[in-house]
Amino acid sequence: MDITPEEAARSLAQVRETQHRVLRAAPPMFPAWYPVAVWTFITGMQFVTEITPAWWFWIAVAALSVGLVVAVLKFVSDIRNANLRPHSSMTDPWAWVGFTAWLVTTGLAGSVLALWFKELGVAYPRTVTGVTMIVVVAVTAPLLARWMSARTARRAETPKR
Amino acid sequence: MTSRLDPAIHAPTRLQIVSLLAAAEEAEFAFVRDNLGISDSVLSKHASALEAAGYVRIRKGYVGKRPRTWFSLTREGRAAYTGHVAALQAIVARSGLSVLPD
Repeated sequence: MDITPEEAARSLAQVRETQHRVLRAAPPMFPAWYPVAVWTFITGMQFVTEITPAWWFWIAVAALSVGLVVAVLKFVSDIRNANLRPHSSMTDPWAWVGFTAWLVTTGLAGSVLALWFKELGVAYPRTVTGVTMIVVVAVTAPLLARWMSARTARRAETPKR
Repeated sequence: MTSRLDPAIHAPTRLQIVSLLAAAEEAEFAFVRDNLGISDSVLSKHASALEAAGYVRIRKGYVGKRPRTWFSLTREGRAAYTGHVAALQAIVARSGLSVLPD
């Protein structure tokens, strides 16, 4: 099979353009509701250990655990049934570095905030921290997921990976 | 590594489908169709041919009650794509051209 260098160059440009376009159109790298669900579980656990009477504990833990299991199953289903899951070779490693940094930062921030609220004498510091972190994660997770997708799409645009 | 042009993926539409799938673990039928601007029948025909060549895996499932189809490249398909792109790059490199914008 013989083709001219111009045809080869055009084919390569088309390959790159196709990959860049579909990665831009792909859904966010992860469903942003999922970390919110995890923080809701964590906050629920703080609520039942800090505020509610003791007899609530096992009922609430069972209900929260069922909720978490449902969230995990839906997360797996959403990922598996996504319109497009970027191939690992296409994903920008810095996107995962950013994701890990966000995960560690939100985890540490939650712990530090709980201690700080306790020092300030805030009532129910762990539960208040949980609610605060739900808001923080609900705002930042969609931005993070979109940023990761944008980095991956930009990487597909560059000639050499 | 010996890179060669693969006639099974050389046609423009086939190359577009395979390059889209090379960027994905899996891609859904309607997503592929809409992003490549091709019809259902054209996509079905090429996907079946690529599946017959052993390059594409087809998974059928449901989202809610709606049937869906997902495509992914097999290991052979990914190797064929990599070899095809390497062969194209070699042709371009020998000529001293750079990749054209369109």
